[in-house]
Amino acid sequence: MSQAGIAQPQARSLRSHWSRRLLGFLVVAGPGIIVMIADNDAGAVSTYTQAGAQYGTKLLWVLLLLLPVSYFVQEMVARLGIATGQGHAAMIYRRFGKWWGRFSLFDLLLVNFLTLVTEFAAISLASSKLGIRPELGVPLGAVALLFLVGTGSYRRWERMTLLLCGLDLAWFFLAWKAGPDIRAAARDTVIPALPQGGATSGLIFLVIAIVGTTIAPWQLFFQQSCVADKRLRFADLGWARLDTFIGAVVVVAVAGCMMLVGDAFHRMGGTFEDPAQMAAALTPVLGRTGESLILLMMANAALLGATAISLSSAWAWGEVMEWRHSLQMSIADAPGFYAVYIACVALAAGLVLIPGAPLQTIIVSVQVLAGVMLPSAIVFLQLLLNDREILGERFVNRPWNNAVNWTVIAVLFALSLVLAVQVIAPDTLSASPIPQPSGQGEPQ
Amino acid sequence: MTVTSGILLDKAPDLRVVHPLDDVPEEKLYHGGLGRIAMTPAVRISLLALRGYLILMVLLVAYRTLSLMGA
Repeated sequence: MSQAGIAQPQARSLRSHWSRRLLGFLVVAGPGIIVMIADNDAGAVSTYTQAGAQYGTKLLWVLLLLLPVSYFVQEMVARLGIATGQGHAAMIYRRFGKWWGRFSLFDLLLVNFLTLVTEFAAISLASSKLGIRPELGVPLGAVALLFLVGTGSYRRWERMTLLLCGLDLAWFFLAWKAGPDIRAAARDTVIPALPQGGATSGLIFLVIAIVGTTIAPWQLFFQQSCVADKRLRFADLGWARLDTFIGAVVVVAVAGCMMLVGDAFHRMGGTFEDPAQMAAALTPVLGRTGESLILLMMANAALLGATAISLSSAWAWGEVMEWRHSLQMSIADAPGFYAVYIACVALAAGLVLIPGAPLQTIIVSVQVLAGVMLPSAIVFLQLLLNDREILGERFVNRPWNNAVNWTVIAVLFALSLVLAVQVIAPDTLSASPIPQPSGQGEPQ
Repeated sequence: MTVTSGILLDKAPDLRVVHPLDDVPEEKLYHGGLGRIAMTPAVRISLLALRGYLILMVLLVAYRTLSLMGA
């Protein structure tokens, strides 16, 4: 390490074994927690609160099932990123060729952009309900997103983003204020059961929406690029796994809290339209502070989702084009990378402000494209994790990894197919409409 | 002084923690010279299934478009 010409690493000396372990974890933590909590974006707030508003606590068990699934998928991404030092888009492009590489990149950019539009739609809705005109609130959100990444420091971005993730914990306060039936919630979390009325098409598609919300394509690309940008080392894998696991636990717990807030609305007998309408209706239960907090959490979720989604696009594009792409670089040093990020944010924010923009069509398109994207992205992930030529015996999937992951892939394929068939050809499966984030679902 | 698990072990009894961004970059397992992935039966079947899935999705979109045009 003390070779001439090589800079000495900046080390922090510690004397206690425990403080060394804690700091060892803290310097590695970030990508896993951020990718998971950013997944609770505006669409997730809408989906989870709608699930609570329509079915009370009856779908909490779905979240518990999704905890190991989301952990296993994201752990693979972290492992691949640490082993290769490359992003997911770069690995697909280089190992599977230009056709699959460009398909994955195009699909990712398209679905990310449309999802980004829904994030800004949520910012617009939340700001208008908070008394801020969308013409002011949306550009302010866009500027905040640009400021977040434009400092030329990965660490600064990570700390600010983790702070936003921390704000998400306010959902625990909201859930407590909602006064849930703890015993019923605990029972419905651990014992899978169907709500009253059985497996209606509305319920099936809401469950699919929850699965699709919890495991999104951009997450694979984001975490692997983030791990590569942070330059996590082979020896950091254990802490990266813990980081991902903590993120998975928090995201599922926060999602459960959102369902509990929705459950309060369910007990009032309200008809769900969107989280903002639900927040206003819950004022007698949560107070004015609670209503404002839900709206602020909506905006926070949208901002978190927007920065992660835009970054996954910018990293992926930069990797495939072989541009310089790192949050450690200034805008002048990585102009293409930042240009993609800025373009995504600016175009999505601008689109939301256009009067009469087809937001509902965009929401449906996001569902279809995410349905197409997730299985393909996850298949490439699974194949790459079995690529012994790159990973060797140390990082390659174990047989039990493969058994779990192929099961997850089969289930996701089936669910995505059912959702896509229902959206594209609604008469094929059922006449019942798909629950939309705007709340046009099937009330119980 | 040697680096182990991202922790600098000095002769002194204390242990040091190095942030990944401050550490000397390590050589990763991937390098550009590897080229395309080996087409094992598992890879070939997976890509074939993926192609089939994508073709099915395109057909569904076409069906939906034609239905809307006919409506």
